[in-house]
Amino acid sequence: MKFRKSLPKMLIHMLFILFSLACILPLISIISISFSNESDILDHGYRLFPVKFDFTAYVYVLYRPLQILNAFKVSLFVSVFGTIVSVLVMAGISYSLSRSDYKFKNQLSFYVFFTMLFNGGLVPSYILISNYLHLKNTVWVLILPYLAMPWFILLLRSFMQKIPHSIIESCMMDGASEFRIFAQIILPLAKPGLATVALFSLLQYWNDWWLSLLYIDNEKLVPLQYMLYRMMNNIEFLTHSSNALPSGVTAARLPSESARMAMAILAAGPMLAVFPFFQKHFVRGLTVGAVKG
Amino acid sequence: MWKASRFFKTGMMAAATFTLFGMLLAGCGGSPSKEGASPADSNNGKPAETGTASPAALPEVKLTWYFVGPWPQPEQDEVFAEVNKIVKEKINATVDFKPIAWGDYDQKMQVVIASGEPYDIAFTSNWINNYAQDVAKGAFLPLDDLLAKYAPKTFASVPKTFWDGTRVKGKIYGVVNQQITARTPHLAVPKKLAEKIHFDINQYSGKLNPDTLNQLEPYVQAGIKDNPKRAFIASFDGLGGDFFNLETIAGMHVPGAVDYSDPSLKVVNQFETPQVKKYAALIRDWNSKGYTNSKERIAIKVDPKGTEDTDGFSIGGVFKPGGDIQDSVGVGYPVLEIPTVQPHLTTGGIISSMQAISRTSKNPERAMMLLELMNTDQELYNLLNFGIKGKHFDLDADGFKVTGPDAQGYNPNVPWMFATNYMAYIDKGMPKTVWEDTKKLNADATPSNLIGFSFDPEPVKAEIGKTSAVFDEYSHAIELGVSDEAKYNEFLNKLKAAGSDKIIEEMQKQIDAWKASKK
Repeated sequence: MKFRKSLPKMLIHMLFILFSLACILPLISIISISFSNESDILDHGYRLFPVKFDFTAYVYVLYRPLQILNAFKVSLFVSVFGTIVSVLVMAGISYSLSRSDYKFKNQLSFYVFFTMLFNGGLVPSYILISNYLHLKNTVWVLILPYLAMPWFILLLRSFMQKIPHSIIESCMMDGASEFRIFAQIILPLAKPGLATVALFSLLQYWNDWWLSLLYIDNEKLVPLQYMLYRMMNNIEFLTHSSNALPSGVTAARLPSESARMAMAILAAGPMLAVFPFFQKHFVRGLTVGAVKG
Repeated sequence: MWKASRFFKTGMMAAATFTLFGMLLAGCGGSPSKEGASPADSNNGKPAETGTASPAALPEVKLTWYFVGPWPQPEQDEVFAEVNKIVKEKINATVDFKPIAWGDYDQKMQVVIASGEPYDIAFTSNWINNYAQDVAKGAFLPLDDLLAKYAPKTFASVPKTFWDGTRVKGKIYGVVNQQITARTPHLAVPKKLAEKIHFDINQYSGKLNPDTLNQLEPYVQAGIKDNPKRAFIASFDGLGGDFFNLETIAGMHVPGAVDYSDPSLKVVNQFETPQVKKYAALIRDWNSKGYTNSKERIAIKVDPKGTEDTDGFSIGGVFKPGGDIQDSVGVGYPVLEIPTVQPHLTTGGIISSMQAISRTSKNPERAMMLLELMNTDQELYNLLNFGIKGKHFDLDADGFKVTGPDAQGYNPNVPWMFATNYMAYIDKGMPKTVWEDTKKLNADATPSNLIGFSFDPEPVKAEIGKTSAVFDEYSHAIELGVSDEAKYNEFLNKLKAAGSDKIIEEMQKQIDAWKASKK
């Protein structure tokens, strides 16, 4: 009896243990590779434990600690401030879109949706941002372009649509202003949805290097991701196109694999720490809009 | 209250409309700069108008200079400030340096050029920020008049054939940075091995080609006997067209090459030429004798760094005076090097490092003065290249360059990029005559029939991508001699299927057009 009950359980446990291993092992090997010597990797391949501990990769990546620290600060500011503002903006527009008594609902929805499918393309947006809005080399250029992401707006809208309209009506009857309804009723009710969107947009801001590649020349405004991306790119370029390069540039002694992994850890570390705080809301938030009622 | 929210809605709608209009306007605003990019004649007026300023009373200007390298360097701001002190004093200008990292430069310059953003100078070449394409877009100013007027010394110091190499439709668009231009792959052997097997490397200098390579066989065999890891290593990209007496049009991995000895300039597929086939057959034979260590090397993309006791014969790189000393430092043991073939002067070698002046430059004459200054003021040039003397580098009693106490603070190591390489302080250990030797090597090289022709790959970009994929798939096995003849023919057929004929046709078309325009 006992056995019959525990066998399927064990199977299920096994399955999940395997699944967890599949998730954790790559992470461990990344850590291991980042602590390995480049030649050990070539000789022994990727291993779960380094043949011998070696900090060359970290020395290479962290060679300029002040620069990295500064980049970290920029990334942190952009991610935190950007996420807060963008969630507020997106909550605002999603709320108006979710209200069935809003007259231009369809037009505005279309306007939001349209940008998901069509955009001006790289060069026009570069011209707009650098020549007309003069946002080049400001911290705002890293924040503003991602303020309103249409996909998240639609996600939030369907979440807010599930809040019964009668709640809003009864608030109105009690004399609450539109702003008060939004701030005190809708936002708290939409918390799981907001948390999901906040996490997504936090990741978006944290992982972005594209905007800084295009618009940032000032070393003081370079965010972490771009700095690491650039380092990686420099290594990559030197190791793979050494034939095309004029002579004199050599790729000698660049830790490439291990440095890549050390960077992955530096870049992903903070996000790994943040994730559990969102997790509570995350599961609920993800199913948002999955069932339409 | 209801009213207020209605206002709010109208406001939103209005805001949305405004944004939409704004986007439309921006879209329109973008196009004139693109249109303006094509006609080259509109540029010609510019230098003539502004060219009257006398050097005595120059108004202060700001110049923007985009260039590539292993940036950022930790103490670059300090060095740039020092450079600006000199530049300010000499030509009353301040330079806004825009150092861009290797991997970002192409993309960044494409956006900067397409947006019509004002800047003054940019690094351009045939391997990054493509010169031919940029000129075709109308990104740069023609420099003939500016060079004659504001950079006479630079203009005179560069050989005429070099300037011809940069000409597009008869006009110069790039200031050549002189360096090792006549490129030949070198044969490299560890000194220890050469001594052990009594290999006199110098007797083969400039005499190796697919027909004579088999003369090396006894030595390669002796090397392998010593240590089976001592393989013969050569990749197609490393050999380049030069080893086969071919000038490749878009690199060895893209079908299309012209034989140096063919005055009719007929484009052929290099992999179908008898010399490449002969080489492939030789390597196949050598592999069967175990000379290429293919069993170990087939699985790895980039050969790991060897030692004095495991490295054998290899062909690749670029032969240059003092190169063996530099490479010895790089690999960590003494290496012997010789040029494999007689050097040729090609457009590719000439335009591999240039500075161009932007069409959007507000002060093209001052930009040219800056380039003249960089090319003539040795102190300034070395400051920008190696940093502050006594800090980032030092000079020893004999005038050789040695590392300074804070060498890591600034060491971009791209002396061939800023201006003519001949002005660089010579590294300790290098022969004192290294620049004279380089000049001589460049001067003695046979000019190719194709000097001045650059290929615009844009029309056949898709085919180049496809054939490159085929090349990547088959080349490694062919280079190791693992592929048999049937496999080699399969490679040729796949190249054909991927559009090699179309590429060659396009190359021939462009060469014919270029030939016609020259007469």
